Amino acid sequence: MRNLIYLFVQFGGLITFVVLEILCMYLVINFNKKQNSIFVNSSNTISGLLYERADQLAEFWDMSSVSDSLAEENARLRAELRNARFVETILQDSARNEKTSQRYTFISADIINNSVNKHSNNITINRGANHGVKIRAGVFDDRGIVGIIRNVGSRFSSVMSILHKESRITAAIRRNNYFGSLTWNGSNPRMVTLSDIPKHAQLIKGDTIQTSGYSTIFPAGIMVGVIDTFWLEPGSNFYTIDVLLSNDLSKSKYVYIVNDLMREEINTIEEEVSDE
Amino acid sequence: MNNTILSNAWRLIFLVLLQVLIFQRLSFGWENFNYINVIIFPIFILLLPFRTPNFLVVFLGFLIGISVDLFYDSPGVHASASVFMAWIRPAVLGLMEPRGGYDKNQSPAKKHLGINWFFTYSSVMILAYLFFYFSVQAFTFVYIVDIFLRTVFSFLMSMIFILAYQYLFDPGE
Repeated sequence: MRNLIYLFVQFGGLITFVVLEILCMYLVINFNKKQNSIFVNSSNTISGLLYERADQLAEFWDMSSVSDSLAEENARLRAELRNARFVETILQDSARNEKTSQRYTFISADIINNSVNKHSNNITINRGANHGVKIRAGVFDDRGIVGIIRNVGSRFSSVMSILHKESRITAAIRRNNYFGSLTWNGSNPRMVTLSDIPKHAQLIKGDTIQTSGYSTIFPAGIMVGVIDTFWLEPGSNFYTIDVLLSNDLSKSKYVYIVNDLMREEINTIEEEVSDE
Repeated sequence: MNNTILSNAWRLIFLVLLQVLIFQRLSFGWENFNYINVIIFPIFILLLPFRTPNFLVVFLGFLIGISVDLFYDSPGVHASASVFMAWIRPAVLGLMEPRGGYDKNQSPAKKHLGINWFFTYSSVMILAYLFFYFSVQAFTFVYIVDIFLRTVFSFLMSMIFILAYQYLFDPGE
């Protein structure tokens, strides 16, 4: 007994500390939601980690076939989106009974050659005329636009990247629909220039730029990037806008090619007008 | 003896009220920068007399911590940090012992050991407290940078009030 008391005098602080700290942790874990969820999750994590590693190993082997089938599925799903369809109904009494028909379909492809550091960058993809790729079709991926098909072989196609000094793509500001054309000045692979936005447009840094849909190249609403800086050249009535691309082309790998099913019709009509 | 116990009991109640009624609402911050909490109640542990047994210091640390927790709605978070701080108190005091040793009947306060000594002592203790507190609050070291930022900013702010407390309530000789 005496020894016990002596022990407590000697180590009383430590013993009290350990006991009370355990009590505190018990209280923290049981009566605080956030700490409780972290505690529960991390205790799962330790056992989960083992399963996850084993699973990752197994997954690794069939990764490529999975990603191929996912890319195809994505292309099919994108064709179901509203902006890929053409509204046939003229009078729209309600949103429900509008009739649409397919306007765009998408072909999934892999980038097999790419560059971002030249003045005129081209991309090669592993889809060609055999797969239904047509010249002057748009190419984009899940993060934004990539370029336009400029040359089609039977199995491969060449894409003029948006980072090409001859590249011209129509793009619009999502918030107010003012549109202009996108060019690249050949230096920064994350930055393109949007010009022809009139002086009276209200711009905000961070405004989303998306494709306009005013051509047969891209459907409307595909992300391009956000406004980084904008200014008026002296004497000009149009803004010059630096756009930060949402897409990092140096990392793009899986892309989709736009196939506009109504393109012939639109082009024929537009040509007739321009002949006049 | 009784006088010391009584004055410490009053200080405990006073500091808990001060902390939860005033300083709890005084957590500074603005958008994306909610890093400053003013924590002053550990002064109670800082100022316990030298002769307080270690286990009692730790127990009182728990008591005041859990009282503050009741008002902060965070059972155990303040208590665990304050228990930790109370536990390291003897070690910190040991390291900082002046040549002549401490007078066992006194408290480690400014009026006995001077402002420089008290400043170093309270800095070490409060830093330990805040780091432990914010770690338990985050409960993971994923946000270690965040924990450090909170510790540093809260430390600067809390020290101002702790020193002010010393000047106001424990004036010199």
